[in-house]
This record gives sequence, C-alpha cells and structure tokens, in this order.
Amino acid sequence: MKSNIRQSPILLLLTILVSLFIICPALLSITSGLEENYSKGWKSGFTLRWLRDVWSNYGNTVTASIAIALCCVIGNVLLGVTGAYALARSKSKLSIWFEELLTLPVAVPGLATALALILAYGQVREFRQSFAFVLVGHMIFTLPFMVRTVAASFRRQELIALEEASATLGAGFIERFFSILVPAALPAILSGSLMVFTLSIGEFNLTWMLHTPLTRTLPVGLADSYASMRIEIGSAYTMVFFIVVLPLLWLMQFVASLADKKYGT
Amino acid sequence: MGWGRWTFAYGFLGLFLAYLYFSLPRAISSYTAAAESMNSSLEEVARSLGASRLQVIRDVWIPELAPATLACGAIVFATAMGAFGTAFTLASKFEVLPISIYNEFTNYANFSLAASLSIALGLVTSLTLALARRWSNDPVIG
Repeated sequence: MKSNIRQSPILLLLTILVSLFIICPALLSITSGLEENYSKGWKSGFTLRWLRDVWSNYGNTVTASIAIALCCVIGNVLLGVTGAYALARSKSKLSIWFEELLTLPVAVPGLATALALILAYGQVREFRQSFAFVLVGHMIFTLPFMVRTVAASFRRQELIALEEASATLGAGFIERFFSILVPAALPAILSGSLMVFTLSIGEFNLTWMLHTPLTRTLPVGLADSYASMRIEIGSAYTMVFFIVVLPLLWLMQFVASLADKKYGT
Repeated sequence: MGWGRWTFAYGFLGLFLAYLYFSLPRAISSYTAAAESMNSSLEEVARSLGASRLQVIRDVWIPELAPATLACGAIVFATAMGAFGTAFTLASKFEVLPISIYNEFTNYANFSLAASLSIALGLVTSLTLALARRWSNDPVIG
C-alpha cells in the first residue's frame, strides 16, 4: 500500500521486535554450530569440526533430499500439469469432488497421511524400504499445490479462446497442448515447481514417519542429530541446511522471475 | 543457560513460542499480499475527514483485512493442529495430538487407535479450512 502517511512509531517498534523474534533464533543456531562448546559460548573458540562431523554422518541426506525434491518436481510437472488440464476443462460435477479429494492432503496433517500410506503399503517390503516410498508421500502432499496453480492458469478465459481458435484452424490436441497451453501456463508451472521443490525439501511431518534408517532426508537427519548428538552438531546441521537450500531457492526464484518476464502476462 | 531455560523451552510457553515462530512468516506474507491489494484511497479519505489513527485501524484496516484474517487464521490453526516436527523436538511435558498419534503408532503399535486419532485430527483441520473457505469464498484456502 503506497500512501504518504507518516508511519506510526508503535508499528515501527512492533516490526523491529517481530524481525528480531524471527532472525535471532536462526542466527543463534548458526553461531552455535561454529562454537567449540555451546555451553561456554563463543569464548570457547570457533571450529569447523561440527560441520565436518555433519558432513561425514549425514552428507548423503543432502543428495537424497535434493534428488527427491527434483523427482518430485518432475513427477508434479508430468502428473500435475496434465491433471490440471483435465480438471480445468472438465464440465463434470465429479471433477469438483476430485479436486476436493486431491487437496485433502493439504488440509489433513502429514502425520495422518503418512500413517495411511504405511497402513496401506507397509507390507510391500521393497517399496517401504526405498526412497520411492518417501517420494510418493511427497508427491501426494505437493500435487495439489501444482494442480491448483496450473489449473487456475488453464482456466483463464483468453486461453480457452486461444485454444478454441487453434482447434478450429486444425491444430490437434498435442499441438495445442505444447504450443499454446504449456507456454501460456509456463509462469504458473514454474512457480508451482518452485513451491513443490521448497515443500519437498523441507518436509518433515510425513517424512519422519515414512523414512527408514537408510532412506533419510535433510530434515529427518536434522531431527535425528538434534535428538542423538551434541547440540553443536544439530546447529551445524541447521547451517548446512541453509547453505544447501538457500542458493537453490534463490536460483530457482531467479529462473522463475526470468521466465515470468519473458512469458508472463 | 541453566535448567530453567530448558524447562521453559519444553513447556507450554516454549511450545507456543515455537508454533508462533513457524506460523509468523506465513501470516506476515499473507497479510503483506492483502495489504498491498488494499485500496489506499479509503484510508486517505478517512484521514482527510479527520479520522484518528485508531479509527483508521478500526474502521478501515481491520475490515479490509478481514478476509485475509479469516483465511490465514484458518490455515495457521490447521497447520498448528497438525504440526508434528516442532512438538516432536520440544514437547516432553505437554503432549499434543500429533505426538499422541505418533506414540500410539510407533511406541505401542496401536494402529487402530492411531488411525482413528488421525481421522479425528484430519476432520478438525479440514472442517476448519472448509468453513473458512465457505465464509470467505476464497479459493486459495486448501
């Protein structure tokens, strides 16, 4: 909101307090991961030992998490974009119910979703013990975000008109889909992908239930390190999380904003 | 750095602050979006007619942000109800529903109780969101 009204000092104070409330714990967590001894504070000196410990104990969770998040994005693009098109063009009452069902995992806590998955597939040993199980959980949780973002874009009136125009000019479905719909919805697909990636890489509620000791992701390893190791290692792990996730997110946001400039409406 | 600090962090107040901590960014970003789309001329008119700061907040800001408050409130409520990670790392004295479900499932292998508790939890959160969506006609709420 742009107005030339003088800002209230109370609001300014509140803003500062809230910012401190948000930033301080994160900073504290990062610095304690660098301290030789957390209970003695920074006077005990700084070290990279804890970071090395994290890397040797949990390094594989970094690659696992990134791989799962990327697979999740790919799966969402394949299933979500086509699903969104089907939902956006369907005139059936059932599609409304289907969309409600699809968004249920957003409303129902991840813990409950995970429980349902385990009760349903827990007996299938190879699946239960593989990363695919975690990936399925992430897909179920993230799919509604992709579908809703992209479906909203497909439902735009001018896009329907464009599609009809190209159909009357003789373009088949495949041609319409890839030369009109997908480019028009590209900003939505990209912002959906960004959201899916972020959600997947930070997902804990589901993953904690679904993981096995051999299929751990970043957040699961983080919780594990806080529970079973020195607090400095947990804090160093938080730092690794920031180091890995933030540049990836910035990169993806940058790409998304570039595409938005090029294809955006 | 003594014992007092830890008992604080693991009690009700600590849990509350942690929940507040993870919900705040979401609330702030929804309110930012809502405030950006607010019609600033309403506020300017109110000011030019001599409304005080409090009156502007009461009669312009709060009603204009009401849909965002409803939507965001419902989402924050539902995520806080189902939040597991935070409670899992912090709660030891104060058991919240997701922790009970987790304990029933992993520690006592009481699958049917865990499943029925999750259904109860899922019903509460999805009903909250459904009601908020119906009242606000806002398709954004899950």
